[in-house]
This record gives sequence, C-alpha cells and structure tokens, in this order.
Amino acid sequence: MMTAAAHRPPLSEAPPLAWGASALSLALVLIAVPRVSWAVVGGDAGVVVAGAAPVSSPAAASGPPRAVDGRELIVPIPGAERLRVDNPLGGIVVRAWDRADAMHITADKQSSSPEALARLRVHFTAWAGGEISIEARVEAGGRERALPLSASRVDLVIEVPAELGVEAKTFAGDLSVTGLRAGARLETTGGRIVVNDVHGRVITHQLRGGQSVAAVEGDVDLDGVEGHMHLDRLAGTRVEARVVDGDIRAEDLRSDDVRLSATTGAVVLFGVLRPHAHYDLRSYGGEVRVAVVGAPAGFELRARSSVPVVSAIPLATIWQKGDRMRAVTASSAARMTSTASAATAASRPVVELSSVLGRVVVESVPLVDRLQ
Amino acid sequence: MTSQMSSTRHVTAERVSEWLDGDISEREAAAVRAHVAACPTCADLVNELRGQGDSLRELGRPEPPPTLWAAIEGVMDAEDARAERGRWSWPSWLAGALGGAVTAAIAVWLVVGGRTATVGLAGGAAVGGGEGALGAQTAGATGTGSDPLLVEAERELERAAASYAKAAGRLRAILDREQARWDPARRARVAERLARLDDAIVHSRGVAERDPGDGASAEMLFSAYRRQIDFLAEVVHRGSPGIEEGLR
Repeated sequence: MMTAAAHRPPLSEAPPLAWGASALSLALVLIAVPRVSWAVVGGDAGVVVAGAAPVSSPAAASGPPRAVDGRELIVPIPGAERLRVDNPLGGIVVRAWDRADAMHITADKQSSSPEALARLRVHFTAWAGGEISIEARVEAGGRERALPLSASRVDLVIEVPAELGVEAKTFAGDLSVTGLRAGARLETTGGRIVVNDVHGRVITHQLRGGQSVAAVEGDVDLDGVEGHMHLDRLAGTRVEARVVDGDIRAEDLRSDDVRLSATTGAVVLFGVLRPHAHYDLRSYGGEVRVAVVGAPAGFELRARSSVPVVSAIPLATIWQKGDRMRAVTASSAARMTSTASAATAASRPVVELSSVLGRVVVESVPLVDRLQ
Repeated sequence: MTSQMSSTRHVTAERVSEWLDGDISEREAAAVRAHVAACPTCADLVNELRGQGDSLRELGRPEPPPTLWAAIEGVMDAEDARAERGRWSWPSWLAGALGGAVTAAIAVWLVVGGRTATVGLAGGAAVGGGEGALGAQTAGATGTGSDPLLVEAERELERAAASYAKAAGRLRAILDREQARWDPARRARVAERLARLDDAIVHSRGVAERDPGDGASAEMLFSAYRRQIDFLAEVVHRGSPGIEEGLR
C-alpha cells in the first residue's frame, strides 16, 4: 500500500514565531482539503505547514483503494511545559529531539475515500499557560467529534523538546514515547504502549494491547486489563503494575517498592534483590516466580500458595499455616544467631509471593548467566 | 497551566485524581479545594470517589484504586456534552483551558486552487471562533442518524464496551467462586458495592444509547466498567478473609 509519507514533500523549516505582546496563545486549525496543495501561514506568526494533496492511492496488493494525506508542521513553542495529545483515530509516537524551542508534528491520514479523508481533522493549539494540545477529530453528524473509526485513521508522530511533560491518549492506536525527561501519562483502549528512556513519572491506563516499559528513571504505575506487560530497567522509587488477563515480566528493577499483580496471568521478577526493598508479587490463577540474580544476600519470604513453594534457594521456615508461610533464606537464618543480626535483618529485602491457584517459585540465577 | 476550575467549569477528573493522590502543588490543591467547596456536583463526585476508597479499606487494604480518576472524567465529560450539545464539543480538559487562554489574533489561510481564503480565527475567536470556523467547515454535514462514519464509530465503541464487559465477567466468575468461602458480612459488603457499580454501568449504558456516536457518553460507560474491573480485581486479589494473615 502506498503510504501517506510517500506523498509528503520535504518539510519547509518554519521561521521563528514572532510573539506579539498580546499574543498569549496560538490556535491553528489544520483542515484537510481534498485535491488541494496547501500551506498554512499564521500571519505574522510565520508558522509554516508543508503538506500534500490527498490522493487516492492505487489498491494495495490485497486491500481496497485508500485515500491518503500527509502533513508536517514545525512550530516554535516558547515557554511550553506540557503536551496533551488526544488521537482516537490512530496511533501516537512522541519522541524527544534536540531542539528546545520547537515541535515537529507529522500527521498521516488514511481513509477509504477522499470524502471521508476530508472529514478527518488535526488541531494544534498552543495555550498561554504553557500547554500544547494536539487533537485528531472526525467531522460527523454536524460537528467535530472525538470518535474512533475502523476504516479511517490518523497517525501522529511528534518530536518535542525532552523537557516537555506529555499526556497522550488513543483509542485503538499504539502509543509510544521515547527520550522524554518530564514524565508521561498514557491512556489507550486498544493500542500497545511502549515507553523507553524516560525520566519522570510514567502512568498508563489500558484496556488491551500490552505494554513494554523500559529504562525509566522515575516512579512507574501501569494499569491494564488485557495484554502482557514487560518491565525492564526501571529505577524510580516505586514500581506498580496491575493487569487482569496477562503476564507481567519484570527485569532489572532498581526500585525499593515493587508491586506486580496479575489476575489470571503469571508474574515473573528477574533481577538482583535490593537491600531494604519490598517486593509484592501476586497472581490469582498464574504462577508467581522470582529469579534472584547473583548470590542472594538473604531475604525474607512471605508466601501464599496452594501447593508447596518451590525454591532453589535453601529456606528456613519461621511460620506456616495452611497455604501461607514466612521464611528467611538459610544463610540469613544462620546470621540471625550472630551479634550483627539486627542490622542485617533490617536491611533484608522482603519478598511477598502469592498465588491462589498457581505455583510460587524461587529461583537462583548465577550472575554470570545473566551477563552472557 | 491555565485554570481548569473556573466557577462555571468542573474540576477535571485528572486534576481530582492528582489532588487525591497528593500529586499536585499546594497552590493547585488550594484551587481544587476551593472549587469543590463551592460546587455541589464536584463535591458529590469526590465523595463518591472517597466512598469507594472507604469500601476498599473496609476490605483490608488502605489504598484506593489509582485508576478511578477516569470515572469522574466520564461523568464530567458527559455533563459537558449535555451542556454544550449543539455547540462545539471540546474535551473536558481542554474546555477549562479554553476559558482563559486564547487571546491571540491569528488567521488561518488556506490556499484553495490557487486562491487564498481565510477561514477565520480572529481575536478571542478560538473559543467562539473555533465554533464559527467549524460551522463553516461542517455546513451540509449529514445528520447523526445516517452518517456512515457515526455508524462506524459506534461499532468501534460497542466493541470496546464488549471487551470491558467480558473482562468484568471473567473477574465476576472468579469472585463468585472465591466468596463462597467468605463470611456473610463480607459477602454483603461486596455485593452492595457491586450493585452500585452495576447501577452505574446501566445508567451509563442508557446515556450512551441515547447519544450514539457521542464519545463522551461512551467514555462514561468505559469509566463505569473500569471502576467495576478495578474493584473486582482488588477484591479477588485481596481474596478470602485472612488472606493477609501471617504474611504481615
């Protein structure tokens, strides 16, 4: 299928915005006009949009003909602090670029007909308070609406200054953010969420689609209903992830408060246990597994499992009743008899593992295996 | 950020959530408190939110589900949609910003077939002007009942609602099995809470059915489902009485 990008001419660089004393904000409506080459110039503001005419592309190998349109915009955003993107019509990619005073927006539209394509709109608004909003809308029923469509889509790629806080929302489109330094709040009904190399708090809400969150220097709070979650190299104070129907696999978490819970899926934590840290891993129906990398310095285990806990690390049981137990690693138990036991016990990580129907497994993974 | 809490605008759900989570500055928190104190609608919603937190605390874990903000957002979006039906509908979080932000004199020019035309945003017109400009763009639009794009959108929304319902149903089946072992008082508390959440879903579905193609109404329904799913997941994980016994 011919892509919208193929119709996009080289982007003209926008001259700097000339912000008048009274110009507290800028509102710019980008309107798709069929069969029209167009440019948008905001008067003295000097904003330039380079675009291309919507074109009905030849039929793809197996698909129906598509009308496509691509638009690009570079706009100065002096003083901007926060970006909110709402795109119920497709996906959103937000990535940091090396400019601190401007934003680059690419909007690719596709539809089954030029008429439908012309009813897809993207609005860019810069508000006086430092907020930038970008919205995709469809004109339907006499007004513009925030509605999803199956046969039409708008995909947004936005390059932003790294220090911009980002909130983004899609319906079925994927959400991806990279390189941000002021956190991200992401919400989608059916798109996949991908977060990589972000500083600041990351919050997600998702119905289905799966999430991959990696290299975050900040607290992480992930919420999902269906889909697997993969967490890797998270270094905030707190990591929390909840999913109803899906697995959670977490690697290399450097947080002191880790809470992972799945209802029907498995929960797996793979990495070094940090002193003083608290790990709470729960599943109702799935297996709960912790793979301790390196020589375990000792930890306390609090477990609930309907079947005996499987542990490759020798444990000394402190308390057991029904399907619940408390234990410490045998090496810790030995140290408890020494005079330095109080300090050791205080710094010992606590690992809570609970599965109502599944197994609870503790593994030991040599560091050398991890490095290979 | 510009005010989202004018006397005529409700606090955004996101802001309420951040406020309850203690994630906003003291200055912003003071503004939220002031609005909630003066606005019965928002006060009711906050109380509802807190009430749900209390219900969960009664069940053992002193943390309200962190996703409840969406519930309030849905309610307020629906209120906004009702209040402004027939006018331009902005999302709730933008609606507040609209109130005070736009003063720039900007014109949008379209080059049409070699001619240049102004479609017009001027002065503070991005608030009202957005409506005006949109009116020009949407002249001759089809009615809501026959617009194929609306039908298409409604299908997508229904599909999502079905997914929510399916997830809630699975959790409910688990809960039904688990709570057979609970004491009657706990079962009653959970049943009471679930009945309220069911009512909210029925109400939201009714609103959505009356306004097909209304994204705000659909969002309200999704929010109601999310509240129920959050609650069910919490209860399932908290499990039968004494699940924490011996673990703490």
